Amino acid sequence: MIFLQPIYLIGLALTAVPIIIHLWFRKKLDKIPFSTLKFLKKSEARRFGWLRIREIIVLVLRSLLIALISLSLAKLQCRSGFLRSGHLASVVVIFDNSFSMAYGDNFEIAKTGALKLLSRYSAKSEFSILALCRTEDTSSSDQISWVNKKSAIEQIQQIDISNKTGTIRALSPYLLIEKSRYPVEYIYIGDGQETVFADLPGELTIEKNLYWVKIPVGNNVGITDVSLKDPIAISLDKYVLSITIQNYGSDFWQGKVSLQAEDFVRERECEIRPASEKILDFILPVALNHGTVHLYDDSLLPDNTYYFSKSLPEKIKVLIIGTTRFLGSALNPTDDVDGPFLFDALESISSANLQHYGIVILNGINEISKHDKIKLETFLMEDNKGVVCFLGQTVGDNLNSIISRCCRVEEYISVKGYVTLDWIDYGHPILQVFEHTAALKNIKFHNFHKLDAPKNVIAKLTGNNPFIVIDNGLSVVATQFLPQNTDIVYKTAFVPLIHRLIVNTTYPSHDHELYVGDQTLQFNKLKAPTGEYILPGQVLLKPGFYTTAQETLGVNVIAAEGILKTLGSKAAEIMHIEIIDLEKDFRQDDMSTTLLLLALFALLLESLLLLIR
Amino acid sequence: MSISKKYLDPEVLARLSRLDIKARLVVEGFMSGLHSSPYKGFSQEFADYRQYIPGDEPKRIDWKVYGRNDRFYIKEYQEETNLRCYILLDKSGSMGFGEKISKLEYAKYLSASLAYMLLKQKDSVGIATFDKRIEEIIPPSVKKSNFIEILKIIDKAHPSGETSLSNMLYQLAQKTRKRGLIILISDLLDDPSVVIKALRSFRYRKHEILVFHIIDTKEYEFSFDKAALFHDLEDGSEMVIEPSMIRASYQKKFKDLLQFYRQQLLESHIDYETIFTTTPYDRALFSYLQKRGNLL
Repeated sequence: MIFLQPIYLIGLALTAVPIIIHLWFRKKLDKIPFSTLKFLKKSEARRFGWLRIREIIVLVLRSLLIALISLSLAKLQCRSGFLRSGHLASVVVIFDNSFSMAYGDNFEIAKTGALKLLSRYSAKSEFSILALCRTEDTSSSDQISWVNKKSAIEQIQQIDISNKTGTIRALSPYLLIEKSRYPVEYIYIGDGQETVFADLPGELTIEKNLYWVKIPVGNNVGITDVSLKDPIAISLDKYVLSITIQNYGSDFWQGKVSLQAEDFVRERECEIRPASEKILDFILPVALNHGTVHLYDDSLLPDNTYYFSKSLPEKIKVLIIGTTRFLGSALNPTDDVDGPFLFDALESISSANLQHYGIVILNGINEISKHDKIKLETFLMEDNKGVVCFLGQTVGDNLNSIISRCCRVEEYISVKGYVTLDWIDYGHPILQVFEHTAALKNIKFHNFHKLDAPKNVIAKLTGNNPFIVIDNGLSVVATQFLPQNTDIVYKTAFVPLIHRLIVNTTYPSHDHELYVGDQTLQFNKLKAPTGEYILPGQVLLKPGFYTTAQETLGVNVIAAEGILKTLGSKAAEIMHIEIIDLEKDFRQDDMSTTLLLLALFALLLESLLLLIR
Repeated sequence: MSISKKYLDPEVLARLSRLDIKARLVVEGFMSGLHSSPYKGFSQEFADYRQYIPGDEPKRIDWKVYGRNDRFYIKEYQEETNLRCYILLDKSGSMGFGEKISKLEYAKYLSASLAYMLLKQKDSVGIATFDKRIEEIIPPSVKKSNFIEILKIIDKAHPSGETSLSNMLYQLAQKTRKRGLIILISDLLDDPSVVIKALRSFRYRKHEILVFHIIDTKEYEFSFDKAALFHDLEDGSEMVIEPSMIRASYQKKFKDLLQFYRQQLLESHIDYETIFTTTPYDRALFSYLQKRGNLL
C-alpha cells in the first residue's frame, strides 16, 4: 500500500474535527435542569438508545468521511501479488524490444511494467538491463554491468523498439553471472514469442529463478513472402507477384492489401481465417520490379509493409550435349511461341564455349573427356550455372566424377514390365506444379540407373530408387527421356518438368531482398533509406529500400516474429519459468475513486441517519 | 381579588419570606371563601340543629330534643377528633424543578398550610421529609409548638437525592402503628407500580391516604423549544435532547402515567390530586377538607 500524494495524509488529523466540534457544541448547549430523565429514559429507552447510537455513528461517519477524502487525495494505491516491496536482489532484466512488441501499446505497457517491477526492489538492489534485440554498440560489451535503480530506470526508458527478432539464448554470454552482491533473479519482460525461449540456457531454468512478466499479445497478420509467380512463364510486358499473407491470430482478419511500385497502385480486399495464410496475385508491368506491399487494419505494423525488389528472369541459354530428340522440342515447342529458353545442341563439350550458357544438359552421354570434365567443374563453380544430366546406359569415370557431387551411380536396371514414380516431393519448386494433378502418377519407366543418393532426392521410382537428385547446381535424372526408357515424352508432364528442372537447377535468384539483422558483407557502398551508408559487415537495422550503384535492395522484418504462439503456462512450468501476469500479479489499484465513492456513501448514510427520528 | 385571597396564588405567596405567615395567609384566605360552602366549621362548638332527613346517620340524632319535641333533629357541630395526620413531603432532587417556583417550594407552602389548618382544627399533625429515605420526621401532635417544629423541618428541606417512595413508605409504615391520614406531597417520579404497591400496603393498614401529585407545567407539556443538554436533578446524568423530536411521545407517556396513577389509586380507594405548581392552594385544601369530611 503506497500513497502517490502523501502530503494529503495530513488531512487524517482532521478526522478529530467532528469529535471536537461535537464536544464543543455539546458544551455550548444550554444546560436545562430537569426533574428526572429516569422516567424519560425508561419510557423512551429504545429511542434514546438509538439516538445515542446514531450520534456515535454519525460522528464516526463524519470522521470516516474526512479520512476517506484524505486517503483519496493522497492517492492510495493497493498492491497485490508478486514481489513484496523492498525486495533485495541482483536483478537481470531482459527487456523484449523485438518488433512484435510494437503491437498496440505493448511496448509502453512493458516499460511501465518494468518500472513497476523495479519499484518493488530495494534501492540497495543492483540491476542489469539487457535489451533482447541488442544494437551494435551495446553488443560490443561482453560483460554484464550492474547499476543502481535510478540508472536502471533510465536505461529502460532509453530502450527503443527494434525491427529484429531476438532470443534469450543470444544473450547467454551476459546471463552467466559469476559475481553478484545478492541472489540473482532473471526477469524477462515481453510477449514471449516462441523464439524468445528457444534453446534457453539450462542454468536459467534449472535454478528456477527466471521470471516472465507476460505482456499480452493480440491478433496479427503479416506479409511472409512476396515472390514471382512461376518465373518461367513471364510474358514480355507483364509479370505476376504472389503476396503471401499469414494470419497469426485466432480471429478472422479482414482488411485491405495494396501494392505500390512508383505510380502503379493496386488495392485488394482480403479475408483470412485464423491461423492460416492467403496468397494474393498482383499483375505488374515488367518495367516495375521494386515497390512496397502494405497491409491495412492490423496493429503490429513492422510486418505490414514489405519492400520487394525483383530481378525478372531473362531467357536462359541452354546447351544440349547429346541427342536433342524430344528435349529440343520441350525447350522450344513451336516456332511461333517465344519460350523462356535459347538452346544450342552439340556433340561434345570440348567445342563449346560454356561462358555463353546458363545450363548444360548432358542427355544420354556415357562419358566425357578429362578436359571436358574440368570445363564442366569450372562451369559449375560459377554463380547461377547448372548441369542437368540424363543418364545413358553407361556412365564413365569422368562423368561419374561430376555426378558424384550429389549421388553414386550403381547398376543399370532393365525392368521386366515397368516401374512408376512412387514418391514425389511436391514441396520442391520443380514438382510443386504437379501437386494437384496426376500428371506424374502413371508414367512408365522401363530402364534406369540405380542411384545411391543419401539426400536431395526429390522423386523416387518403385523400389525406393532415386529418380531425380538435385544438389548445388547439378541435377541427375536416373534415365534418359527416350521412348525405349519411358513414356513421359508423350505425356503432358514432360514439358513443364523439363522447364522447371532447368530453371531450378541453376538456382537463379530473382529476389534482391534481405532481412533486418542480416549483415551486408557483399555490398561495398550501401545507402540506407535514412541516407547514411552502411559499411560491409554492419547489420541492417531498419526495413526499407537500400541502394547501391547497381541495384535496389528491399530490407524487411521477419514476419515469423509475429507468430503469436506465446509460451503456454504448462510449457513454462516444465521450463521452470514463473509467469507473472501484469494484470493480476502486478496490480497496483488506484483506490482514489473507490475511496471517494465510499466517502459519498458515508455522506449519504449520514444524511439518511439524520432523517430517521 | 381580596387581600386575603390573593395569597392562595402560589406566585404571590412565593414573594413572602416567612413560612408561618405564608401558611396563615393561605389558610385564612381559604377560610374566608368558605361562606357558601357546605362545610360548617371546624371547631368543637355547637353549630345548629336541623331536621333529620332520610339518609342521615341515625347515630347523629339528638335524642334529647326528640324526647322534648318528639321530632328528629340532628345537632350540627364538630366534635374534637383524634385524627392523626402525617404530611409526607418529597424533597428529592426532581422536586427542585420548576419554571417560576419549584415543585418543592410549592409543596413546602402546601405542607405548611395544611399543617396550620390541621392544628387549627385541633387535629394532630406530623411531618416527614424524604427522598430515598425519610430525612426528618416529627410525629403527629396537637400542640401549637409542634407547628414551629414542622415549619423548621419544612424550611430545612432542600431538593437533593433520588426519589424512592416505596422505600420511604415502608420505613414510615414501621413507625405509624395507629391508623390515620397520610398526605403524600410528591412528584411521584418513581416506579409507578412500586409506588402503588407501597401505598396499597398503607391502605391495608386502614390508613387513609391523600396524594398530591405535584407537577410543573413545563414538565407536563415538555414545552422546551430547542435542543439542550438536559440535566437530571436526581442522578446527575445528562443527555442532549431535541425536544421537538420527543415531545409528542413524551406527553403521551406522561399522560399515561397520570392516568395510571389515577386509575390504580382510585381502585385502591386512595384520593389522588394532580396539582400544578400554578394551581391556587385552595384546591388542594378543598381536597383535604373533602377527605377529612369523609373520614369523620
